[in-house]
Amino acid sequence: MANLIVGATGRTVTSGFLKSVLQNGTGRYVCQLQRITLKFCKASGQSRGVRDYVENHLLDFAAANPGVVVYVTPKPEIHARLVAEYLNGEVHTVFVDKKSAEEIKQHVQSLVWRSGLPLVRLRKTQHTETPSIQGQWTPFTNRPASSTVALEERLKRLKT
Amino acid sequence: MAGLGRNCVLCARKSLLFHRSCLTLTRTQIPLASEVVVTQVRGTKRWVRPYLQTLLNRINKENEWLGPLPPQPRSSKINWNYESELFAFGPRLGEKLNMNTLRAAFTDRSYVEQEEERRRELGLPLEDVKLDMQDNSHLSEQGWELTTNYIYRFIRAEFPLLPEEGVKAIHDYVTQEDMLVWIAKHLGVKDLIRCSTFPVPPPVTKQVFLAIIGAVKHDQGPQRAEAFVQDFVVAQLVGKDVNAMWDVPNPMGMLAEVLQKEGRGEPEPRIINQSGVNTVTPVFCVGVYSDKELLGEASGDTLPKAVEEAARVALANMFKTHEGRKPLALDTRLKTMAEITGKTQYLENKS
Amino acid sequence: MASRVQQHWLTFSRMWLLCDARWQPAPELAKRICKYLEGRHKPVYHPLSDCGDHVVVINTKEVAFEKNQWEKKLYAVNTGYKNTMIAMSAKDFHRMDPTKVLEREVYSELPKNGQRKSLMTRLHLFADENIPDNIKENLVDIIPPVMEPPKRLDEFTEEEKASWPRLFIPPADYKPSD
Repeated sequence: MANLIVGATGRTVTSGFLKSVLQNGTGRYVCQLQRITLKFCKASGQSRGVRDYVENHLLDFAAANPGVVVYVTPKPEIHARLVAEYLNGEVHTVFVDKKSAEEIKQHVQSLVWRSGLPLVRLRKTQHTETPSIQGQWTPFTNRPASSTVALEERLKRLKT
Repeated sequence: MAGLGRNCVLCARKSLLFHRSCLTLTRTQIPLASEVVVTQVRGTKRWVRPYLQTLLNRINKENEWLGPLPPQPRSSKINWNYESELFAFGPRLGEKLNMNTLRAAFTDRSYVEQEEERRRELGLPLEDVKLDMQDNSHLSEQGWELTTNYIYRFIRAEFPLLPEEGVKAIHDYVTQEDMLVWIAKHLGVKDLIRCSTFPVPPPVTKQVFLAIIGAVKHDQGPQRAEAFVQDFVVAQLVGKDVNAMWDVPNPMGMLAEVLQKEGRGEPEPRIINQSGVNTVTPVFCVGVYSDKELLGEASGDTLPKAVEEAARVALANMFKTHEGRKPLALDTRLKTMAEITGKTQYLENKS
Repeated sequence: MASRVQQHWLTFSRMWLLCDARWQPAPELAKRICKYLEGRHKPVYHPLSDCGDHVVVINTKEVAFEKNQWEKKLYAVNTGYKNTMIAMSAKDFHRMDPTKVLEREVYSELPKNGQRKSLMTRLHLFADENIPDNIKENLVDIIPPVMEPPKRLDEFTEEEKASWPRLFIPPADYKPSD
């Protein structure tokens, strides 16, 4: 969550409401992760976990998620990272220097499950676009008819 | 000077080396010195900071002058494989599509013409110039036919009392170009389109999206294509106000017509509640009655507005598009369950 | 469904409420008026949303205090000249302007923030029952009184007086001493 960032408070983190992209899940669920790129160094010790992941887990991941395009781009002397591109055009980057293959597996899975919308502090844990079935409250809701009569009688009794 | 320069595209570091303005810096030819004396100087390099600052100022100035970079197609990036992307498109949406059909659906007519023109310019013989490449015009026609048919059927089934104009208004809202382009964009269609121009114009995107529906129909049959339309196009009606899509110019006149057809009395607006009538923020609650029966009530800051609004609410109540109606039957599983238990008929009879 | 704009307008529309201050304890009445001025009686209340109502108070000259509060209670009054803040007893203050005591009570009862002045503009105080017609037309409802004002003897009708239970009926020639 965004509000777990050190030094971030409720005011500094952008806040918002629960949203879904394109009413996803109303009809069928579409995985929002479009493509994922693994960038790492072939020689660096910091990228060792990514190399392990590519050797042992990547093919399983690609077979399990045929809708996600996977690119592997080794580059010399760079910080190892996962670049995830989502259907709504957002790009998220996770830096995975010095992380083990198991940890990277978890990171990739969390990227798959995300909607691609930016992480925000949620103001409420629930949200609806549909109005209430009972109707919105108004000052005249559940107001007894006798109150109007009482007011009229009182106004009549005013000594003017 | 940690923030100097931009991220280099190749090595992803803060670097000036690959920046476009640095290319212009290197254009100036510096005459080679005939004699170079190199002496080692120890201590703080006080010239480094002003030197880098000067470079940064120059970069900023040139960036201002050049303006923002033009949008680049995703295919210009180094990590791009069209075949892989095309393969992933079907499984992502849960459809088993033939690659050739899909490739045809993503190909616009302008792309084929552009390719033929390129071949002609290369001086190939006339027999070879003609490409055996399918474009999406046929598929998009099929897709459009299926989409309109299904959406009309769906809305008529959902709102059986709504007049034909209202059904058409809702249909037009769902199938308008902006909406279809929006849906296509969120299904990853944008990067895959093969078109002669970039950025891809909205009509082409719309045509490609309809062609995909046509491709689903071609490969998997019309039933599957209708499910596709329901899941991605009709689902956009969730959370939207159906009454706002249909703009009735004279609701009170229409209400009178509808009541006359049914043989009921004329509509009669009455003030139910009011507050602050002599202030600048008054509120009037108006109810529309016919034969002493309340058809609908609404409020407004002036009386004519409140009356018009109340007539709209009365119309919505009569056409069963009112607030608090049962939700759209978008979940097919729920729909079949409801049909099995006869719940739908029960609800309709009750309401 | 009414349009969302109209729905919102109706939900946050201001009500005009009538309040009779006759023989009501001033501090308790002020508390009750504040509740309606701030909108705390509404289910949609939120401190950041401006959802208070207008309150029209009549008969403020007949407002009540308990015990010897009329003499004991002091109000700081500025006479209008420099360095002339004086303490005035509630009795004198009330004699000066019969609406001022209730106004002060409500003002001190409201939350001490920037909203206080704008909330006070929605309080309409009248010394007696003479309300201007334009305000009378705005009214919607009555605020229930803090306590039911007791009936005076001259307000009872002759039948009520006759049917009142008596401990004993005095003889015709009965003369109370003094």
